[in-house]
Amino acid sequence: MEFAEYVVGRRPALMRFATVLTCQTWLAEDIVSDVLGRAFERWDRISVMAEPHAYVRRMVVNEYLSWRRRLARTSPRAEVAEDVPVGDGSDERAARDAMIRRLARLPRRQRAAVVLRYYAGLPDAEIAVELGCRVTTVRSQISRALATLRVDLTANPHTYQETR
Amino acid sequence: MTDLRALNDAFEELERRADAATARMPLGLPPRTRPAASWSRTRLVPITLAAAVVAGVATGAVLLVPTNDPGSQTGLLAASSTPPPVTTTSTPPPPPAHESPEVLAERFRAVLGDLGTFVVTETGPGASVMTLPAGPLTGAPTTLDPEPTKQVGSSIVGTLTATGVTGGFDLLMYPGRAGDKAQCALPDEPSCTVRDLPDGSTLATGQFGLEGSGVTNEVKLIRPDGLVFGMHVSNRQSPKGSGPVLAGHPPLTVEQLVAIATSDRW
Repeated sequence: MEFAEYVVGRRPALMRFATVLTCQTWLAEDIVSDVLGRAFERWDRISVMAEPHAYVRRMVVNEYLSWRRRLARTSPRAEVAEDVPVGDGSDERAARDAMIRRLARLPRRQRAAVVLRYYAGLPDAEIAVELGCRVTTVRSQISRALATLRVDLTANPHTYQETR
Repeated sequence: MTDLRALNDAFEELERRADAATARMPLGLPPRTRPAASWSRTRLVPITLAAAVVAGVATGAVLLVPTNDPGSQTGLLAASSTPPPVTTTSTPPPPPAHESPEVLAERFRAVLGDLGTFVVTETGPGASVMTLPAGPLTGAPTTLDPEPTKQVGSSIVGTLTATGVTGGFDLLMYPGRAGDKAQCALPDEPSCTVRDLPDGSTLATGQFGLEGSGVTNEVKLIRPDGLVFGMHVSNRQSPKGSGPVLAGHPPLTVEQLVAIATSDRW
């Protein structure tokens, strides 16, 4: 697969993943641009992998977790936390926006673990590889995150698979 | 409490925002002939990313290393298999500073001397290495994923006090790729400087203003053999610039960081 073909086909999915991961479209744009830049430089090797997209997605996670991204100066532009969930008066929308704000306030590794499991649909073993930690650590991170998100798994247990 | 539907709704809303942002983005595809780094921004050039989180430690780096990259192998070999110097005594050579966080802390204490004191609160490896599958560069797909991430070097995180000023710091060392050049974490910052040293090392320094009254000073040194030294000090409790402000300025200046990075006591 040519790099241009990959970008045209997969950049929207990468942007979605990065936005869900960061809760901020400006940061997602920045991360995806940086990652695609580095992927371009190594495309000869990445393109021969069975799942180039999985590898590039992993690059997105690593970039998101990198310390350069963790500088406090990069945090105040959060667009999500400023949303006021009263626009249309809908309870569903208010609950959704409240959930986004809670998601945005999660520690980065907890948020990454939640997104990889419930958005990307990865098993815990693969999440552990992506985050460079043990499976038990992944599970404890997710458990703490769900408590913060006030998600009760027994209420309606199901998971999500990335389809794009 | 709610259920996973609320989380799914949140994901869908974020997807919608992502799609709107994507629609505004120029495609910006690179030319078909690939001049080096023609797609990337200035700060995309280095293979060494500016530090990513590794397990349990909030500092470190990620390297993308082609397994058959001669430069990479040379760099690692140079750092790890250089024969010990001939000596007439039985005293073994000291371990490299990056051998373990404990050795790194001990060596840092010696380098710091009377300049200050520090307390280590976190330790871990210096970098995670993601290795791309070996060639051939053409043909059928090779493997589903790259080889398992490998961790190299050491890092320490904590608080440092110098001349009565306390702040957060982190310090990492790891054997990287020979020939890599040091870069600032934020290369577009006016305070960023990068220069070559007489021994072939490259040195990058910077000072970054943070939210509120936060300031972080940074130094990055990459030696000719690829050994990477990185350090940050902040007037906030975390060297990443978060946590409470502990002082009006970082406990060490950029010049002092340079003196530490280039010390021959490592």
